[in-house]
Amino acid sequence: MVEIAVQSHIIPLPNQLTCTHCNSKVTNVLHRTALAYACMHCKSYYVGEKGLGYKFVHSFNEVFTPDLPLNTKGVLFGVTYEIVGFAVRSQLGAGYAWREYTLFNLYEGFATLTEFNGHWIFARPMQNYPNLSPSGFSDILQYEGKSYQKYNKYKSTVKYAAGEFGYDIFSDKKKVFVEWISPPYMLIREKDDDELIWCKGVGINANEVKDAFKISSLPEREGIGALQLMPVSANVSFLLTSTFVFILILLVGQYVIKSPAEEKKIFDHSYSKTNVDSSGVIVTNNFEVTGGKTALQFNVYAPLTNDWFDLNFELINEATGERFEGAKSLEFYSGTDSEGAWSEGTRQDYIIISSVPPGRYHLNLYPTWNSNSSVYVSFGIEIIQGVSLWANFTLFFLLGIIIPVIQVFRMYAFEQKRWLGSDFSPKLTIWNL
Amino acid sequence: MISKAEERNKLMYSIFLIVMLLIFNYANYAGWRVFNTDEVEHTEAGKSHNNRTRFYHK
Amino acid sequence: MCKVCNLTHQFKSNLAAAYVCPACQSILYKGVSYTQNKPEEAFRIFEDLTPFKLGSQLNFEEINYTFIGRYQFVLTNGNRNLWFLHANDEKVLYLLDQPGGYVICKKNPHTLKKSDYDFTLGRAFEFPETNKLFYLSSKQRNTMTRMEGEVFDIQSYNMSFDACDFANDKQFVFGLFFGRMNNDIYVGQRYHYSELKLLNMRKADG
Repeated sequence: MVEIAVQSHIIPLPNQLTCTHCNSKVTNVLHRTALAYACMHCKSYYVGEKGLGYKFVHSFNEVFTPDLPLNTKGVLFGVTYEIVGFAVRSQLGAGYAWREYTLFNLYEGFATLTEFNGHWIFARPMQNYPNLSPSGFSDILQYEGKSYQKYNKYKSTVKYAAGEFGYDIFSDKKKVFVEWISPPYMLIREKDDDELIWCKGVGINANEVKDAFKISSLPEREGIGALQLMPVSANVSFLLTSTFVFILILLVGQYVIKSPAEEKKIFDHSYSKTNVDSSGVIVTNNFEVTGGKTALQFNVYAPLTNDWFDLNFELINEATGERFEGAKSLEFYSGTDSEGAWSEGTRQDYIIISSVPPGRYHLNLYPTWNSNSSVYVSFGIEIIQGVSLWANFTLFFLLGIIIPVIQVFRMYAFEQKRWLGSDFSPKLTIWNL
Repeated sequence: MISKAEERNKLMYSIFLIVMLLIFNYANYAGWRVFNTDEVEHTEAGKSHNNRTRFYHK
Repeated sequence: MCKVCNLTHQFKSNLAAAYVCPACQSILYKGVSYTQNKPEEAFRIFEDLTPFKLGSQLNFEEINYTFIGRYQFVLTNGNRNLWFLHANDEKVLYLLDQPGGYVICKKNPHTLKKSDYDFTLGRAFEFPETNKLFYLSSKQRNTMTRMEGEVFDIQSYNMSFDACDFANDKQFVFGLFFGRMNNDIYVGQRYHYSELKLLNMRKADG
């Protein structure tokens, strides 16, 4: 039995408890708040007896070395905690083990820092009974505006312990732990016949743990942790909402924001081989582009029959000499074969010349006919100003959705890996990512 | 810590969308087809006489 | 006056039933003269790192209360203090304290109905003068009670009893069940330590 300290008006410095097996000292930060302690030298475990003293109850088989040394102090979430206990636990019936550090602060009480495969979770008992919807036993819980998915349900066993604890760690044997996750947060329900505790956990980065406790190296991260956030992520609802709003504004912009140039036909002429001068050029009449900078749509037509026709042209501003070049090839072939009539190509097509300033223009046309053809077909060209540019809409629409699409695929793959560690993997859809 | 990174990502993505909307609306206003494969060449005045000589003033 | 060590004590609260002599742990009942019998002794308080002490002060709802007594319950899953706070005009408040948890409460004048003695964890309970449901979150056994200062009940509190926690998202109820139809119900609200307006606290050594 170990004697007890007496209450005083000063909160005392740590005491020392003695291991009755090996005579080693165990630092007793918690004083009588420690309901149990374990000697890290001889693996002996002691439990408080009806508030009188401590008695030996167990000897562990293995020794594990904590990565965070006992009685190290560190600041997490603005609170200075001291590591008072270390335990290695494993899931009953499963092989894997995790490490649990018991943290203590005089005014904040206890917290737990858990490490599994290099992934860290900081958890504290909740101050109040959480207002959950539904009542707390479902696969999906709603809490504080977040949806939590059931991730794990297990009983645990202790493989090793060192330091001091505010409860008998073996009393957890009967406890059923159920975890729900909404990364980076976790709700944990611990329940046995006598106690139903809700804890809230948050995944934290190993670097934060290193910084907090001034530790140089910690276990390397393996796989995807239960609460790990995908690097470069934003939640799906934000991505979908913002993309939806973006597309809506694109549509509104497409219909509302127009060039000051009124949409109208400003040129319409037909030409034949006879119009071509000795240099192979047709110089057209001039025409006016009015309003403001605009896109011009050139509709080119040639009544082809199993033939082709090429047109190169220059659009020349008569005042400034600014020049735009374009080209269009037309070909149209048809016939019949064993499968019936066929045709390919087209007799008419258009091209767009964009950002054309207002002014007086003419065209230099450079038509090319098929030299093997017996007929030089005529061709027509008409120009419409102020046309809507749906190509812009398509381009920006694609640019707008490319990031959400990539992110959704990344998240899907990430979530699949996350849920590999769970027996309660939900059917992953875009809506529950 | 973690949420700050996510907030930054959201901000960056929002800025990206806003910049795209500004370009898109400007392009519509200026009749500018941003990705235009139809246009062979556009030459400003005074820089017109390149190695192609098909330039005629009426 | 304490018969054993001659210490005198002036009771601060009319509600107090006894005073525990800080020197010898004798339980001195109010109005009882110990000329012949040796008074019974209370178990001495454990060091549990509480930030409060007798004489600490809490300003709550603009009233200054003084910590005048405490029960330290040794429950199955840990120690818990129930502090007895007194203000002028016989105002009384209770403060539950265990590491990281502080509940300011008042005694609910009603006792629980017999039908409510079904202590299944998670079960919803209604308490008079509260308007929300409470859920049973813990049932423990009190194995020992330690005391200091002025205390208001010796008989019931100084024995083994069931201690239950009921909570909802706002409030907390601590129920002490001494037997069928005999219970004390404390209804209160949890506070973070930084939210409490305190004076004259224990100081950390070093």
